[in-house]
Amino acid sequence: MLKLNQVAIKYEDKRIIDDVSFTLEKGQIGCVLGPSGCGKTSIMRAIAGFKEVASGEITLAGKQVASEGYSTPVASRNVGIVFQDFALFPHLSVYQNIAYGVNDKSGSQLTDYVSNYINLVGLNGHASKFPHELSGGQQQRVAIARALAPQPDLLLLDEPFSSLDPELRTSIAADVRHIIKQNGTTALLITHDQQEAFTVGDKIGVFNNGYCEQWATAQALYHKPASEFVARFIGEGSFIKGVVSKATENRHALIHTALGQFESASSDNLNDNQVVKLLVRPDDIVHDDASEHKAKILERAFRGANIFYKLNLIGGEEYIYCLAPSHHDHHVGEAFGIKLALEDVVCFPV
Amino acid sequence: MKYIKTIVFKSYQGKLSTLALFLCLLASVPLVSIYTSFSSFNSQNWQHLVETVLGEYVYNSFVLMTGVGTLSAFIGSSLAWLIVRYDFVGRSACQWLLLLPLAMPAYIIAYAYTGMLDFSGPLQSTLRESFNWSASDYYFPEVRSMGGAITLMALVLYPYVYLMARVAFQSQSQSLEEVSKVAGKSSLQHFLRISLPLALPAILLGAILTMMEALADFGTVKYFGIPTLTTGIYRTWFGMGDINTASQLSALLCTFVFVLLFLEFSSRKTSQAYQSQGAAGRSLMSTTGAKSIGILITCLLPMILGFVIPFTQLLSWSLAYAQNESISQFIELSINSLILAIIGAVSIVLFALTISYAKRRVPSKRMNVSSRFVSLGYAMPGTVIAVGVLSPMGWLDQQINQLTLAISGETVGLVFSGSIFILIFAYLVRFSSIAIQHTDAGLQRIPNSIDEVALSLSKTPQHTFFNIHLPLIRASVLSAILLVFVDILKELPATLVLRPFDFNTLAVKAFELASDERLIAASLPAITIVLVGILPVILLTKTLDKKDY
Repeated sequence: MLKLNQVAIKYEDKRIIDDVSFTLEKGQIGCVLGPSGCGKTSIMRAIAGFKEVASGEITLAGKQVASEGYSTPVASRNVGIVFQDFALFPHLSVYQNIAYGVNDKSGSQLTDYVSNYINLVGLNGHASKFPHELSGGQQQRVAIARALAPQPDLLLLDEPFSSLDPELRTSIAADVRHIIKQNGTTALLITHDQQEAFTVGDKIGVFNNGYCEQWATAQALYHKPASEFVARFIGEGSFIKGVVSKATENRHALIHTALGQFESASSDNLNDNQVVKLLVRPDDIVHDDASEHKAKILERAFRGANIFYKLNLIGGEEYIYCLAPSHHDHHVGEAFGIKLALEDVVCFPV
Repeated sequence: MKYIKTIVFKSYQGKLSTLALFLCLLASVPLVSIYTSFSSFNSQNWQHLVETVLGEYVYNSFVLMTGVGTLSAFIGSSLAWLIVRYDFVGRSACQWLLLLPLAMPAYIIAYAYTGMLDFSGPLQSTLRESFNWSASDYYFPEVRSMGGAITLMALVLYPYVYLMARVAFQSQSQSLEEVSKVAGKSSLQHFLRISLPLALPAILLGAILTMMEALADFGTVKYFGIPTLTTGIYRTWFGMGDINTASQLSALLCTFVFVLLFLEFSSRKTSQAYQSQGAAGRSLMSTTGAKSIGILITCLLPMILGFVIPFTQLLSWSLAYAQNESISQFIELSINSLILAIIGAVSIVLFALTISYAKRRVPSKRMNVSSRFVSLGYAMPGTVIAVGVLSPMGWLDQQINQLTLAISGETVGLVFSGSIFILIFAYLVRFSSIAIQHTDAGLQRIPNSIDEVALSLSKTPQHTFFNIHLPLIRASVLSAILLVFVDILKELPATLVLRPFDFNTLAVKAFELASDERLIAASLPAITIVLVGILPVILLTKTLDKKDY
């Protein structure tokens, strides 16, 4: 449904977005994830048509809508947008706001049609209320209904949860995903919050400084990050030093670390005796009293079901994080045995 | 020790709120006196009025008010839309130049244009000479007419609408326009369905302010010979000597004002509900070449007509006058005006400071309502206030004279009503609102926690006031004094009615000289008023700059 091919976007002479390509199938929800200033809003504006592309192509519903020197007008692109500040019209009621973009219906047909969308977002009975009479979450749902009513090919959501209460964000994000899926619309969410991305997106793109570092499912991003930035940005983790010993015929390259040796997934870019960083996630560290590797607790943070430890490997300077069930209650300064149970071996050159 | 401190504190609070409430009561005397005048209804005079001129007064006041409101709303909101939406050459200069007509009082621009465009003025004379016309050969619109009055007043009052409309348009988040684009609406559709309706409450608020000024105007309509309620009130008092009927006419005029105040109140509520929760601010559409210059000229046109042209005319007249005549009388006049304005401004700001401070230290519903009531004075026309203070002051003087007669066998004459005290009182009623607005705003910027910290450090409230509050609100106090100073200088109707014998101000002199068709002589005091009036415009511009528009 949406395809970006080597898209670059410039502001004045500076490249904000460089060589970005990804594809979103019909009915999928994609997510553009990245820290502030990585250019993710520019991508959204380019897809919507508010910004032209410097090079590359954007294709929407099979038609090319943007390329170098060409840009289909916004009104002809058939996209829907939910802005960060919702941008509801304060002087129009919920019904009138949603009906605003519906140009091809009138009379009772229009009333029924709009009522369906009011129902879809769960705002029955609020049709004649005005935006200032609604809560933040309700306003957001009106904004979504208004964007969906004209039946766009693509729904764009620009940081839609950032103006809502933090406690409600996860549950609201799940509701929004449900609404979009129920309506069958293809959608692209722009956000800097991982939890939102994980909750809402089928496919997530991690962006950094204008580049798309990886476009994959949340699972793949977490367990098989393609770059060190993605490994650091997604989830928590630390790196420990490892030395490579070369691949032989019957096995891949081995990485030797202070916590044992591990076989890498592929040895394409690993050389003999190369020093690498091995990614260790907190859930990869297992409490094992029988283990020969001991670690001393530097810091601890109670998290309810788990305790998050920062550990220092005895005999070394490296530190790692460990997420242990909270009945393993140890204090700062204590040491316990640990085992590194790596499912995915992820390493990067130093 | 603590017990004594509580007593001192409580009695201090008590004294402060009593003082403030008493002052508020004092300031509401005129309004009360006007409405109680209905108790001594003179049906004969009233009947005469109804049969002859009352209909005309009401009609003209109404037409003037609505005409000025509509025209200034149109000019002000169009300019605001252009400034907020487009980037054009000279835009930043335009933003403060547009405000200059605020310095030009309506009655002064009326003299200037009459002098220029009247039958015997330079424009028509030149036309007649060049084309060899006689009086009946051509048509030239009459400046001294209702149309002329409406146009000229709109030209100097549109900045009120402009300021409010600009804030309203500016605060509309850019996303709103983008939503319209995405929904396939054209720019015009967006303007008509979204931008304009959203800004309408603010535009209405500005228009109501201009309507109040139009309703209150005396100098222009008197000069143009248009009978309105304000001229009627003046005539009833000076012509018929009937203070009671004048009071009743004032009450009628006040009713108009209350309707406007009610409209203002409901507009304000709607305007608040329309507050966009979104990020305000928008990017400007750049324009080049002919379009850019076209917008610049459109924006400057009202200001050229409303300030530059009349100012230039006044300037040339004053220079001509100053060269030929002695200006010693003028200097004496100026000093009179300045002293009056300074005394008035300082007293009024002290009054405002007391009220604002009492509201802060001893907050109570009674205090808020009282100060709100006092603030209504800005809406009351000067003629009405003059009538409203005359009766009670006159009564007071009568009592004093009776007292002194009983004690020493002599009368002392008019102690209050014949002095500048009554003038200051009238100014207080009319201008305390603007002063209170500024002292309120200044004090509100100081969080209450500062007062509480000072108390916890064992400082008395008085100490805190002089050492903490006063220095912090210095800017607000000074701007309040400046604004009231200029307003007093410009004030005409109340001063005309209430001034002590043989006491003239710049405004009064300009009015009298112009009424005697001595426009050139009138130009000197007139231009002084305008020059002084530029100061608040500069202050306003600085305040707007700080708000980062």
